Amino acid sequence: MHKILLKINKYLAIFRVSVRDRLAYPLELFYSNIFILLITFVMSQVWLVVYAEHPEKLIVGFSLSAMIWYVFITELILTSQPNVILTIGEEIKNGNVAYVLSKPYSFMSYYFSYFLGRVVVSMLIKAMVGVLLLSLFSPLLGISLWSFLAGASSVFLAVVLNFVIAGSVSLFAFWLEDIRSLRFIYQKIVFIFGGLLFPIDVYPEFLQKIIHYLPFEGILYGPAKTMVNFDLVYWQILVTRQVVWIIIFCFLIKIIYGQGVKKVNINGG
Amino acid sequence: MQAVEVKNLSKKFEKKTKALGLKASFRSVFRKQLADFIAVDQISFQVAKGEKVAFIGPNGAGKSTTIKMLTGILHPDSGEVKVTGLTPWKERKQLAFQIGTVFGQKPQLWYHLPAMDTFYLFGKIYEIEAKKFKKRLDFLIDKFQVQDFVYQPVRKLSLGQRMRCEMIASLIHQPKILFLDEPTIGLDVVAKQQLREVLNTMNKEEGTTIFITSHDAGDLEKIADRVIVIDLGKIIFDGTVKALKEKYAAYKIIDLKIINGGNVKSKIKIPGVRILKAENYNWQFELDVKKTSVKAVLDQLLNIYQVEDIGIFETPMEEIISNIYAQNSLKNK
Repeated sequence: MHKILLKINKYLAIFRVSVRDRLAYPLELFYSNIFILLITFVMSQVWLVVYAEHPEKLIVGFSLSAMIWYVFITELILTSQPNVILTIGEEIKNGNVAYVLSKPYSFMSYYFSYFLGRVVVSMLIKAMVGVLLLSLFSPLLGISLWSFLAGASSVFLAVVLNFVIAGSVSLFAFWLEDIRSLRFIYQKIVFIFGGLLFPIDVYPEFLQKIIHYLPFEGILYGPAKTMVNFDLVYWQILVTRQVVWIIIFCFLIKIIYGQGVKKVNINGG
Repeated sequence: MQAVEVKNLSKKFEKKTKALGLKASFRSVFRKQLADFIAVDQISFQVAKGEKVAFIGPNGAGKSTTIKMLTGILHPDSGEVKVTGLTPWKERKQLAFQIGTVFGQKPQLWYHLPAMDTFYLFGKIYEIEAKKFKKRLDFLIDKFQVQDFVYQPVRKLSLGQRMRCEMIASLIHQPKILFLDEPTIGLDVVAKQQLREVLNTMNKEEGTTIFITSHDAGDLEKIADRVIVIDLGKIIFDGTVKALKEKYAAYKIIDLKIINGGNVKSKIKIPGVRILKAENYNWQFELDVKKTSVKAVLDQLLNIYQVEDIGIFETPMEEIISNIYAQNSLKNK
């Protein structure tokens, strides 16, 4: 038990230092995080036009206000995530992994704790500014403490899921010279299949069926829908899927890392 | 048990090659030109506990590759390695508790935070009990004299100050072996001297085994009691610093200041002695230690002249090292 606590403690310490590191320049951090307001404003204008004739109408089960909040929450989740693929990929390429590998912790758990620290800071700042402004112009109705907590739990799992998928992609840097192209593809897949900007309910039915079998729904659409249109049954399915995908990708990481780490190639100093 | 045991260790890398021109670029899309580059070639050596070993060699000789295999970062192609009885690439995490690493060209301190944050983080990472950690940290802060800047963000520190903090971060868990890969690179004379002094103190007081790679001859002379020279992936010398000098220091310089003048060229005729300078009363000779001894030359000089002052200088270490590399590269041509 004592040993497990020591282990948890070391990853908590990495998380804490990562938060402190992210807070080192508060003003820069604030400016870089309020860009989300611009995207939400632009997209809300699009939806205002769509709902213009019947503002009370529900489109694919979303009211106008719920749709605007949906856009904000998907953007919030997406833009709060650091660039996992490029960061880990670059560290592997330029040899900075040397220090990570010479310390008594797990390679990916180190990066997870590090990224989680950054996500938490970024997400809190964006959420504080965004929720305040959105609540003034388009308050979200029908949100309860329980639906918020359920949504928050799936947002947390979404962050973990994104990390394990992007993390497993990043490990291809052990073999590839440049993984920017993989990052580009991954990002676009999350945009489309994750349901950024539009809920996946607007897609044709066959596409929706395919998307339900993919993990990306659990990164954006699932948590955002849970926050704005809470449905207990859907939430249970969502969380189960998120956990299953996380377990699958953890196994994948273990396999890819195990093979890749033998390929570390640090030239020179 | 030895601190480090290396047996027939080898590592090769694949390197992409590409011919000049557009045609070659298109061809490389379909067919990559790969060439094997042997970085480390069947090397064997042992390091005893508490020893201070300098691992030197020219650029691309295989120093960093070796140190990275010894610390569990790189996987070798073949051979055996035991560091404090552990196989580095198989027991990386257990080994990490036993060793400290400093890579001069790669920082481990959090750049935007004070060094103190990294120290506390490492305290948790190495699972050090709070009281023990505090005592150790106070001891190291005092030893490295970093009290004045340990609460400043690392980005505001000079390179010398940063390196001292890097050393503390590597020593916080009292490692049995310290691996240093070019730790003095870019440091000024005073910072280098401070670092060397502290390394020697840690070795003396805590029995820390030191394994250092460097291009700086001063590191070798001021820290190491043994030198391993590696070139083209192979060990070409393994012995004490004294043995290295005896083997490769080809000549000595004698500076002579005399009271009575004369024509030195006509009077000094000893095989292996060359006159470098003969200005009035100040003369300088170079003597080949393989052909004659310092004593024989001095006997003759003292017989002929009234000498006011004599200075005898060894071949500078930098020149010795460059001689070794030159000889080895000639041998391999």
